[in-house]
Amino acid sequence: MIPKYVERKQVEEVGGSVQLSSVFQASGRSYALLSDTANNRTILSDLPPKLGEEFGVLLRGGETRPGSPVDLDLGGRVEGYGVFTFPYGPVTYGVPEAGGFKFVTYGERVVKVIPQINFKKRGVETKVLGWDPEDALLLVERSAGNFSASYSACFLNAVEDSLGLEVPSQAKWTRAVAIELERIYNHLYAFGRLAEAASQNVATAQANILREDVLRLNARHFGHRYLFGANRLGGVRADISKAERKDLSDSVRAVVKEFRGLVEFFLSSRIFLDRLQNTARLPREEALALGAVGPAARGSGVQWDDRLTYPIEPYGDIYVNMETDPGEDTMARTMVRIQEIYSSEVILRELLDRMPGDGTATQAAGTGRLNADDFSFCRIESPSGDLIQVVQLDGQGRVRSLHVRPASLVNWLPFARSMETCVFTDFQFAFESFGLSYADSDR
Amino acid sequence: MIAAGALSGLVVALFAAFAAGIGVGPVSKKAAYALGVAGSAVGVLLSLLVLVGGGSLTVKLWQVTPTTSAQLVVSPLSSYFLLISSLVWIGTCLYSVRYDDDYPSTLSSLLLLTVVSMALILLSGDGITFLVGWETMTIASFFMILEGKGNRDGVRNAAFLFLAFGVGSSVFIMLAFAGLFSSAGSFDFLGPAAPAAVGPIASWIFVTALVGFGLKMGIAPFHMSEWLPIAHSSAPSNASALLSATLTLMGVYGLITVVSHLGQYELWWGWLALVVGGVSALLGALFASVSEHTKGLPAYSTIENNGLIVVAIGAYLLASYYHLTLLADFAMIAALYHAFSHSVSKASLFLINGWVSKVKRSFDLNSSNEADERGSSPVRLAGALTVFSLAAVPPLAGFVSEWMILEVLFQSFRFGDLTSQIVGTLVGAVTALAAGIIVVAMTKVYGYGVLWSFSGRAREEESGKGAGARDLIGGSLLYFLALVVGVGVAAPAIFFLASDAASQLLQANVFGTFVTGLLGVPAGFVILSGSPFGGFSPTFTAVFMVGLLSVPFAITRLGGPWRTRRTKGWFAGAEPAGPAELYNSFGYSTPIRIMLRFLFRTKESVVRVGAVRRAVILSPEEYVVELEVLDVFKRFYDALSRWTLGLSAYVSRKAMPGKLGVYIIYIMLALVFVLLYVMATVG
Repeated sequence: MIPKYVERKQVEEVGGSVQLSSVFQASGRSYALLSDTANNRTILSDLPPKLGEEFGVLLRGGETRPGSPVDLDLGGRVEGYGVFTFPYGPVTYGVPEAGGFKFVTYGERVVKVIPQINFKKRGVETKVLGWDPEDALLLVERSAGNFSASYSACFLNAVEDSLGLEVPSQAKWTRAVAIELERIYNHLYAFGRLAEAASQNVATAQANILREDVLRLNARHFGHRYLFGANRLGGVRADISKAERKDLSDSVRAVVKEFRGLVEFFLSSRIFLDRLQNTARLPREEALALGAVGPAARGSGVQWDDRLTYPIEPYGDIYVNMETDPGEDTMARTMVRIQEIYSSEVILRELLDRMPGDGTATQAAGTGRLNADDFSFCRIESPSGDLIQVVQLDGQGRVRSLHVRPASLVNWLPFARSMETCVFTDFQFAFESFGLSYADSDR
Repeated sequence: MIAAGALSGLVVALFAAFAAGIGVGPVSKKAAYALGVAGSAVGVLLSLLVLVGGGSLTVKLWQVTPTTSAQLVVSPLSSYFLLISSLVWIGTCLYSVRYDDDYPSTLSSLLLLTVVSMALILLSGDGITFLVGWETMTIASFFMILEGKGNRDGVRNAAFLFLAFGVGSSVFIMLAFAGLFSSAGSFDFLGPAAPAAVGPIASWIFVTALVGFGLKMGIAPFHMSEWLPIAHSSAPSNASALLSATLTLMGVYGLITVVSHLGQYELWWGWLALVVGGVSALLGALFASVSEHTKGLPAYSTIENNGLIVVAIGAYLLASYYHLTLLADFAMIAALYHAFSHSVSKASLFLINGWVSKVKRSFDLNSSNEADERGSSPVRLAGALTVFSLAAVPPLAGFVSEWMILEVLFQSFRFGDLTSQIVGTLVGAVTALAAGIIVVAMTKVYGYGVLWSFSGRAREEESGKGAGARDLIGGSLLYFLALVVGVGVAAPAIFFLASDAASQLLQANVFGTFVTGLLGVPAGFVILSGSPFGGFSPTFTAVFMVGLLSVPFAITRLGGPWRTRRTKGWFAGAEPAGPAELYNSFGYSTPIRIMLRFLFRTKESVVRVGAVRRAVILSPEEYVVELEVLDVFKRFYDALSRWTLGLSAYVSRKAMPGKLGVYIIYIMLALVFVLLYVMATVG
């Protein structure tokens, strides 16, 4: 079943404003999902014959054997006097997860970066095969803990499509509330990490306090700080009362108000700004060609936000502003995140104000089960960008195949390209501004 | 007083031993170096006798004119420098016996010829003998450098560069000597009894001497052509040690000798020396820290150290100008002491790096070549202490001397005018900065030179001859190790000798003023830097440090309930795949290249050739000579040499057109001129 904002056509060549977003197989056929950033359309095509550099990453990143690191190499040997490879990670300061990099350098200056992923590979996609969707959900939403609302909503949307479940609007709106809360706390975290990298200790602490506030709101209204178990098949767990909605709306408003003050301080700190401006530049063409998504792409002026370009309910019914910045550097990506915190607050208020009251769980069983050879997919704008999941169910309604294309996976190459000509100390700024997560890309 | 006869006998023995060594060199290298060691030992004995026993000796060789004679003078000052040089020569000759295997046996003759000409410089009592020694030294060194290994063109260029700067230095020294001659009326102006020059001519003498001897010491702005690092690093290592440790020492000796023959100092001399010395020290340290050449790096460090010596001399001049006797005395002793500490440490470092280059088969610190053998413990120990000394770690020689120089500059507030105070303080800051930066260079040389061994596999010894080679090389390095430690720990003894050496210059023996006891440290072991100012006892610091360090050493050696656990180094959680994944020496100093790009003219670019990216930092021709040549002044020298060649080509075309008629006219003109001259003088 193909949603109305997806175009089914055969694409021969990827390039220009068309990005390759994902490559997957279903029933022995290879498909490609593409994003036409000029026309705001998702294109479903058979695998195009000509593909660019990012194709290899999509395939290699999909390798499922746990424990074998994968080098995401942009290609090209580096020669020169004094050039050596400086391994950074998998266990080191500066990277909060198990993941590594190889810096090709002659000291201080980064000539090339080769991200190494798959240290955290857990093989979620193969493990859930043959499981009931309810069971699979537990694993899927935990594969990247801080994106769990996005992961579960994406997975459930695809499964519900397959099963033909009618999910009440209130449940869908509540899922969106969780997704926006998740975006706010993740962006606050990224802001705090950037401040930490610039040794702005007060700003770091302030950002962490605000993030903690949001986490507690999550716990109060959804039962879990990281929103685990908030969504379930055919609905959501939390039925937020009107009073609680008012309370949540006010609390978020208070947090964002305080954040605005923090941003004012940030924008007046020359030391901080110096570290961000012109650091890790990613030109728009590179962002498009290498398949960057999320704030990383929007910071280079790419107009793509799943909330607008793949507007599942309720995003089609409410006002969402596309936050982009033409700056192409770390500063631009940071500004996109800051603006997204502001716009998420607006979205949240609208969601909570206008939330329908038609129940939190589906009443009827699925109407029409799909043909087993059919698949369904969903795109969700996770805090780090476009998340794609493709689900195929078998005749008993169990998972026959699952394909996850996380945002972090496709952002590695743009990150590596942007680090070229930077120095070592720019690393953490670039890393955090891309919102990269090993748990997300390794899954 | 020692009998003059005994001293004369020793002088004769010294020259005889060296001369014999030069003679047998082409036949037997071993015998030549043995004679070199013998001659140097005589030098040590002679200089110690003069310094401890007192007195001086003048030997007239040849009365040239009624006012000028060729003569040898053994004074306390020259004895002090002879002592330093002889100690270095002994170790270098010992080292050379085995190191020389790959070089022609004439190298030993050239080496000894250089040595004997240095002895002649130190013992000369008149300007002519001095210049004879000076030129012989330059020419012999030129041929030694030509024996260097590596890029042939690079070595030849280096040798000629050395020669050019040697000749330039001689020209200025002749100018200085002309000034001394006009003031003394005789060429016998180098002995202690010669009269002092005063008035405007003194300024002339000082500036030309500073330029002339400064050229030999490689100090700014003459180091800017980097002739010294290029020349010193291209030579065989034993020759490099000789050049860097003792040849530049001749410059120091010359400068101090000339200064001792100037009657009244001008204020601006001090400023000039301070600024020139401070800039040299800083630039020397900076360039050393980015050098990747096993011998270029110590050569740059030589510039740094010679800069420090000039700084001390400048402080001496300023303090003398203001009659700050105590400070002036201390500054002069500091210069003399630093000359000692630098010479022994630097010779040691060159010899160690020569060995490192040999086993690594590369002059490139950055090379990942597997070393043929791991550093034997003498090499590693001598390497550590030499590097510590040059990086000024207490209580070694380098620390004591740098402490002394900084203590002098800290007392800049005593100078009588504001400009001197500011100059002194700023140069003090620059000196301290240089002392900090040189640590980068020294840790690099130790980590990537002496300790380098990727796999840590020691190769089997190939033959008994190899073992012998290591024994003697190790022995000579242990000898230098003892010198480096001894000069630092026994600093009061060196003070005693330096006070004797400076007694004529300072008109008093100042040993008692600066070396006393303090705070429970017995008399004779504390060095005071002024009254009231700082104090330091290297000896007792050493005792204290050894005492502290021996406790954990004893505990680990004797054993106990502690178990020694050995693990591999943490490497970010992964195993390095090979030497290409190790942080290399180039990367170690690249931050400095990038931060100070305005100074180093650093250029970075990445060129894509197909799938290959070529990362280029700095200009490509530098690595042809395996040494960075990157600075603005080099362009000036290049332009100068182009102009000179153009001019000489022009003159030769115009004046020497190859026509017989023109030459006959020249001959006629010369004849007429001679006739007129004879008529004028006779008539």
